[in-house]
Amino acid sequence: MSVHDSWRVDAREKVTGQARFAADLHIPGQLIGKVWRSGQTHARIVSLDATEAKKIPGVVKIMLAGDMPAHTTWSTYPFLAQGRVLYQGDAVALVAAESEEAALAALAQMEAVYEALPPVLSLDEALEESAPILHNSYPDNRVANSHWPVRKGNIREGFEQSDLVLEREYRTSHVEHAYIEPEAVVVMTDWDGSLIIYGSTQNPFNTRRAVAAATGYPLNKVRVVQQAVGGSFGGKEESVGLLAGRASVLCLATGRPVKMTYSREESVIESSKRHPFRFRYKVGAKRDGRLMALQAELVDEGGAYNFQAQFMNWRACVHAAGVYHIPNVEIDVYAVHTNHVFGGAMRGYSSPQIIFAQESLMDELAAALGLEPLALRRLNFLREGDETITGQILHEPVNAEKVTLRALDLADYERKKEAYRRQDPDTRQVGGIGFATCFRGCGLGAEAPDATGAILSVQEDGSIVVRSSLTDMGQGLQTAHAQLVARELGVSPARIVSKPVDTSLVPEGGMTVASRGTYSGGKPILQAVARIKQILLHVAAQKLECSAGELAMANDCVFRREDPSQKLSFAEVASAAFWSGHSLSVTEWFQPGPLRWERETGQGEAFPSYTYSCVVAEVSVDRLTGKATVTKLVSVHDAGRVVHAGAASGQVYGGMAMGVGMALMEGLNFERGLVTSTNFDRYLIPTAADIPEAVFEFLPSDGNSGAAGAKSLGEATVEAVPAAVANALAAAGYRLRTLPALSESLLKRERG
Amino acid sequence: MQSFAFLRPTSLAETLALMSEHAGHCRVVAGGTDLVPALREGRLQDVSVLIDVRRRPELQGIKRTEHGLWLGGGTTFTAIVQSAEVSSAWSLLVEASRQVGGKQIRNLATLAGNVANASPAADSIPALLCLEARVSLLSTRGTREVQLENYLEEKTTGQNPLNELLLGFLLPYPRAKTQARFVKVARRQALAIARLSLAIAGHAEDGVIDWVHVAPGAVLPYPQRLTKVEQFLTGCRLSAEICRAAAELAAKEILAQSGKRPSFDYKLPVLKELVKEMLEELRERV
Amino acid sequence: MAKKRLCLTVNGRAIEQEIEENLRLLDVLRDELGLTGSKEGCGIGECGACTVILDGKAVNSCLVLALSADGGVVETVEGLAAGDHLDPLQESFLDNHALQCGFCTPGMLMSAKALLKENPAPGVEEIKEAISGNLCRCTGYVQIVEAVKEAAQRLGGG
Repeated sequence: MSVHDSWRVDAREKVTGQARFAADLHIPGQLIGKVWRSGQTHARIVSLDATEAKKIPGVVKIMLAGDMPAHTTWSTYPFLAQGRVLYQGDAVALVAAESEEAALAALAQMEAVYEALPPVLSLDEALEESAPILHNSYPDNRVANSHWPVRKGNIREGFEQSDLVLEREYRTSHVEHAYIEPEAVVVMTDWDGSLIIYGSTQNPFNTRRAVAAATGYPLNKVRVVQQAVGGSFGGKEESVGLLAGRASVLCLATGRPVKMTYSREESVIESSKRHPFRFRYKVGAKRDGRLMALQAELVDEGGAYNFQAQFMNWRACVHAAGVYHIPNVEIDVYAVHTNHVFGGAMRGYSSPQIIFAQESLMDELAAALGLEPLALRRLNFLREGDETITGQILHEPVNAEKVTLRALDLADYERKKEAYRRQDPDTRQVGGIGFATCFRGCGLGAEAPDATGAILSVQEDGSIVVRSSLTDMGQGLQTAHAQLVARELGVSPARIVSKPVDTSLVPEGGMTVASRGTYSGGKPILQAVARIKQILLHVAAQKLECSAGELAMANDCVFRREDPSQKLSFAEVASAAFWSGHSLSVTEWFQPGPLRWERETGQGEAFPSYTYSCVVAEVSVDRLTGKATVTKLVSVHDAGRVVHAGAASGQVYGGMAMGVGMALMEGLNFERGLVTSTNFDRYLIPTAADIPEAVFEFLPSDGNSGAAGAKSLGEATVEAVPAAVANALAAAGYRLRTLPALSESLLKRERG
Repeated sequence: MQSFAFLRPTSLAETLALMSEHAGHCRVVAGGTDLVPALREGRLQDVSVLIDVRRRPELQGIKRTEHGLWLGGGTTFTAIVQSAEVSSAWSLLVEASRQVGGKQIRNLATLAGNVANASPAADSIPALLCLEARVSLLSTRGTREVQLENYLEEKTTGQNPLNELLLGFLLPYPRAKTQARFVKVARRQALAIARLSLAIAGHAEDGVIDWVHVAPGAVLPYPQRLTKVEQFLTGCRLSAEICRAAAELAAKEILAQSGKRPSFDYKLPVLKELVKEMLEELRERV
Repeated sequence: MAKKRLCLTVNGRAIEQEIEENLRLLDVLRDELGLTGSKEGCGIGECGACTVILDGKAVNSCLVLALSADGGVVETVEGLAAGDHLDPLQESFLDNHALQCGFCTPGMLMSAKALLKENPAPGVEEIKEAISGNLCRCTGYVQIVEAVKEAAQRLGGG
């Protein structure tokens, strides 16, 4: 399959402008809903007054916390805060009006009195004994259930046996998803009184849950219909639940459809961010480079509320030591509350932060030992048959070394490294080359059952409908699934329509996260295809008077292998099957075997399969201004077998750009707890002028547990990039232990 | 978006009349790239009337006159970048214009808008200052021409008589052998506000500075030339020592104007290095 | 606020509409004319999702007050295709996998279209410059640049 394997399910509508995103919808009679936020870092709500706001012409309804049927979603997030606000994004009132103008005018007339409370403005502050308590149930400000430990071997002995012990601290910042489409929903009631939510949502079933919680409706009376989603990357989860819940409450209270969209500022202020981390690593190694011990404390900033840290920190603990064999390990990951915007899922789900810290650590260790970075890695890479830090024996091919050697070769690493080492130190620009290798557990692993479903429906005219329980938010999931179906049934993809998620039509199959869309999501698809195939071959065999085993399917036909002239068109077979009473509509469910996990020691089979990746980065630093540029990125990914080359390539390039952003320019700025970079003029993501020369390769491998041999890819493409950039900067003379690596940080480093 | 009346006058006379009629609560709008976001955020509560001059022909045009190059106030940055005239002898302005925002912004944003908005980080102003730009202003009392630095000072100190329309700019013909360069320091390669910028124009004969104009951006309350630095350098033989001294003086002059800002920890050392480097270039280019 | 009359030619069609004075061109396109192809990503001209071609130039329609464009010629993504016949740029975007979520795509196409009208044979740097005012979070831009280059070739340029 060439890279220009171009066919894609939803692309035509997207290039003609016909694709419908939630904000494009217009329901006659709709009201516009708006949210009034506290704008306070931490405060007690003394009073709220909507009297003047209600008088604004066009205002239909204003709701305060006391008017809401329920107060929280499926976690601690309040639809409207009551009593206390814990971050500036906390909402305190809702408005529904005839126009956006009227709604905003009403918000301008709302009055509130707050009593400021002492805030917690960093994870360090949260950990202090004297820190203000943000949630009464958690007086130490630790996020419930967010502690995930790993204990292996004997850490004390491990350090005793080490010739060198190194301690380092690394930090990362709040990163914003910056999907170009801000959150939007339109809510209306169906004729039977049930709610319909048209939304830009990554997890329609979570949205459904949130709406049910907000309104008190049973799940079967809430229907969420996913629209084209303009990017999500993990961000359109909690926020969209809040948005949909609020819009639904307004819809029911007014008896009219309600459209609610976020401005960019609202999206930045309210929606979840990538958790900032503080890493404290202590590593012990033998003189020859063998890793003996790793002790790590990983603290992430959960923010005002948190639902994800409990799950994410599990993945974090599994990967905290990197793709290396380390006999003695003591790792603790836990999250804390602060009065900042809450952390949530973001592409990688702790991995870009961890890989940055841990791969930086490896390079620093190599330097301390007088070893080359590659030599240290090769001595310690996990190999097939090795035991990970969680006590899992890796039975599938372990290609950490292979992807690394290939990437370094493609990047001409050795020659360039030498050239950079010999560069004239007095020139204005100084360059460096560095790399990072990592592995990534595919799917949900032991975090949660990686079960999911799909419906495959062949119509009597041979056209096909595919409905996955998982969502396409642009990554190409609908296309990948259709591709699997097309391949297995031997039909043209043009025959297939792959629909977005409608919660009343597909089984709930878990969240579209963890890069499980093809890896796991493809499994019920393939199961369904197998069943359909069996029926079709049976019917065709009868018509062609042979046995089903003699038949093959290709080119939209079913034919006898021995005599292809004996054939039937796919449509003919479908029709025959339909009219002879067969059902060509199949619902399938994939349920993985249970994975064992021991919480206290962090031991168990974390994931059935792992993706292996290596990224090599070249940077150039302007020594005068401190501005760093990534000039080239080379990535090699072992993601098993790639289903759709065009889509997979897009994931690589997109991941590279996102990684460059995180490395060099992205991090929310706060002033006394309030975000100052609320729009794209101050929160900067890479433009087309900021991207490096990009080269990549997929290293195919087999023997994994993915659908059609496809391992997780979507997050693997971003997660090692910031680490590689950091190591390249270090090679250029700028070892930075905090991301983003801003110009001022580089210059401080040089002078310091 | 704020509410406002949108008026589109069909002549300059009408424009002035409207400005007068709505004095105190109106704004003249051309490209709108600064105004529209401000109105969206409700930051201009005193504005209830917009007077649109985006396509007023009298404000368009780039042409050589006997006194220099005339650029109508409504000239977009794209027009400047694409203009052979401007490139022919005033390429410093092209260098600066090229780095404004992104393509779409350059297609809309105007020179007059950039100057009238007078953001400390405006890209065009340091270049215009180094090119000794004069500003042509029109009011009911007629035309007035004033040096750009005076216009900016008037504007900032509130001396500017109200109801003047910025007609355009006159860039005097450059002196022979003028060298000029504009550098913008930003966090990314496009669509970026300057964290720091520097325009330098001048000429050194046999290593001795004949004349030099130095105008930094994003470090002063409003863009200005560093006259003390210029005076210091004029007549000096360029050496590493002189360049260093000039750089120190530049930082001093900026601090005197702006006071100490947190961002200066980064900006001033970088500015000093840039001053040194760009002066060195003047020396080398001989 | 009074309503004023706005006359525009949009995708070849003459439009006449009474609108409120503070509407942006983007609002007129999306809400008055139902042309929802142009998107709002930021509202301050920093993402390019609202890019249309106005009087031959690519502009952020979220920054243009509609009445300011009165009498002008507007081209949006909806005007690229001629019925079922896609514009070579659209074809090239499809063939080169130059889109994922599709939200930035209309704006990208219009910036690219404006570029090719002005410069039928752009180099890679020129393409990047032309689209550097269009943010994309999904694709990493590489395939978009390839698509524009290929479209230029197809149109007989590059």
